[in-house]
Amino acid sequence: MKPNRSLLVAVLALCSSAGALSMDAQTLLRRANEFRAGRPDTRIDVTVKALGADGAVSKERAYSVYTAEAGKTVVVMRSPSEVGQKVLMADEQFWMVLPNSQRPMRITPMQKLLGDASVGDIATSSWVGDYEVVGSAPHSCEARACEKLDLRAARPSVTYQRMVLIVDAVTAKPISADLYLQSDKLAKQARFTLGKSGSGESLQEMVFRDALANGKTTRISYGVAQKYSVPKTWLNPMGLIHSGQID
Amino acid sequence: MRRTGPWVRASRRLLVALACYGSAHAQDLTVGGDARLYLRSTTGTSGGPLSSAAQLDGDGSLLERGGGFWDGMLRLAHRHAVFSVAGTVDHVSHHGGGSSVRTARVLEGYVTGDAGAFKVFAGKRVVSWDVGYGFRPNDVVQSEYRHALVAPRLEGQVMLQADWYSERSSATVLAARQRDTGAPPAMDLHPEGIVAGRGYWNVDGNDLYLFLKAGRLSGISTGLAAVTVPSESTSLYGSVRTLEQRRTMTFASGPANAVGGLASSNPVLVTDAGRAWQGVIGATWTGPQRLSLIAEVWWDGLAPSATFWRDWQARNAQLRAMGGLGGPAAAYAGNLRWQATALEQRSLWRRNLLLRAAKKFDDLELSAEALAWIDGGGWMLTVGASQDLDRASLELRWRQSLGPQGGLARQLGGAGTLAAGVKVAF
Repeated sequence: MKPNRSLLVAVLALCSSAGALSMDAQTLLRRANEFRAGRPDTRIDVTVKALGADGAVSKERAYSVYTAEAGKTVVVMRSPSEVGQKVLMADEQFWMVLPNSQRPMRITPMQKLLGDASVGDIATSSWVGDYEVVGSAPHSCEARACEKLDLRAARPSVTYQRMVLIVDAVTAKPISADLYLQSDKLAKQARFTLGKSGSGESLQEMVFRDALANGKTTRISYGVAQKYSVPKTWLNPMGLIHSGQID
Repeated sequence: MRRTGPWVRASRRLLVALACYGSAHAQDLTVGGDARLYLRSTTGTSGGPLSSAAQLDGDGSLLERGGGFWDGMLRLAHRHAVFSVAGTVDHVSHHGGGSSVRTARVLEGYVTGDAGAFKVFAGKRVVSWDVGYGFRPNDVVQSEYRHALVAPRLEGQVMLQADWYSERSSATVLAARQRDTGAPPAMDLHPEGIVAGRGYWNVDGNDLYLFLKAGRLSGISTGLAAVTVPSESTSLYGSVRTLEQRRTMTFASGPANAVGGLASSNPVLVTDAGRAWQGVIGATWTGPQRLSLIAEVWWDGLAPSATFWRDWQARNAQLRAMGGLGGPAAAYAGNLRWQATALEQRSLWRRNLLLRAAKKFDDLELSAEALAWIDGGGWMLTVGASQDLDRASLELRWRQSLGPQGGLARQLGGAGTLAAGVKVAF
């Protein structure tokens, strides 16, 4: 039987493009990550609004997020009912500090995930360090070409063990993500909105639909990132307790 | 009745100073606080000595029917100073009357700063160190009563403290004048000069602690604690402490052989006993459906022994029986009221098991908690609901004493207590 020449060419082209896609997918992930908040030595103010079924705001909370370096973040609660509370996230370990206590409470990734504030979602760790690209495919978005990246957590301690991330195929801007737990249960669906920030663009808003809590919607809005040198003592839970009043 | 102490007077001056400073540096000063209003109602009567005494002489003035409190807390915080004060009006309603107590307390008032590699604190501070939910044996500086139906506000200890931190460890040393404000008067605990220390290490994702305390009256105690998070949903923890000297309640010898079985003074005595140990192990689990579970078991060597409670029960039964036979009712009732002194201790039972389940529905949390006194002490069931609003929270809790009729749980206060409250933050 005579080989089908056009089929052979198509297969070779596919193999070649698969190799290229693998590289492109890594680049897309890295560039998508750069749009997100959480650059080293920054402080950013965040507002979290819980929305009811009618879209009305049922609860509003304010936070300040201090990022020291990749994977090391302190979240300080600013709302009156939570004032004085802090959460330290360091190397996928989590501690909560309550006011009037010298005791940092070690919390599990699930407790961090299910907290009122969705603290883990406010101060997400780096996609690049935490996830590996295991697949990618073109994805149809409205009026633009997108790429669907299938990501797996690089370590068991990462809160969302699988993520399906949709990014703009040309600019790498993150558009949406489906976030899965260790059990492969869909936990949340996120949509990203970018906005002008200085000379470029950065993440301005994330809208989460909580698949575990009857589709509850949470809108997370980011302010402008400011340069802030995070003291090393804050990254030790005992030191964070004694950090006192944080600006 | 109104109580103010030297700390309140001194703190007024500190408050004025902070207010003056704050007006000049308003951007550095944070002002916050909250107000709470709680009402409680006690239902049914227990089989305890107070009920028996009231049955004998008809005086129910020590049997609580209910009550409530209003309190407010103001907190001023600056980078180098913290000050918080609380005022409370507490009302208790008895069978045959009621009484109110107004209290003003300085909860914290301290200054802080850096001294070389150390962070130093001086003044009145809340210092809670240990791990655990229902029991924390290594809270050797700050004692918290962990089973109040409504959580009390913590009042700090006067101390000088120095901390040192590295990336994954820390050390704390402090000298304090320790005063156990929540201890019952019967325990006769005097303020004590102590020196205490805590070491902390984070090793391979596990938190490890070492504790040491030396007290002028209580001697030396040492402790260890650890917390680990083996999976995304589970945490395990444990804490153990040994102590050289413990205060414990005993019975004076021979009251049962006194004339008519009556004692002429309170037979429940507080004595210094020998070494003791305390320990707790526990686990938490949090599921994706916002269900969380806690299981904890602990041994508290500071609590009275089972033999103590057997003797106590026997003595109660003897007094009830003899009072019912036509003896001097007032005298037998008085003896029974002395017996109730034993129930004022912070920790009543040595072998304990606590199970707690809580489920969140948006901002509403429902919870159920069972504390079992293993080996015949009975148990207490607490169910609750709390609703978080934007600046306020509402809480409703019901506690019921259960178990065998002669069990210790059935001897406490009323059979059940309902507490309802609101807390508003500003």
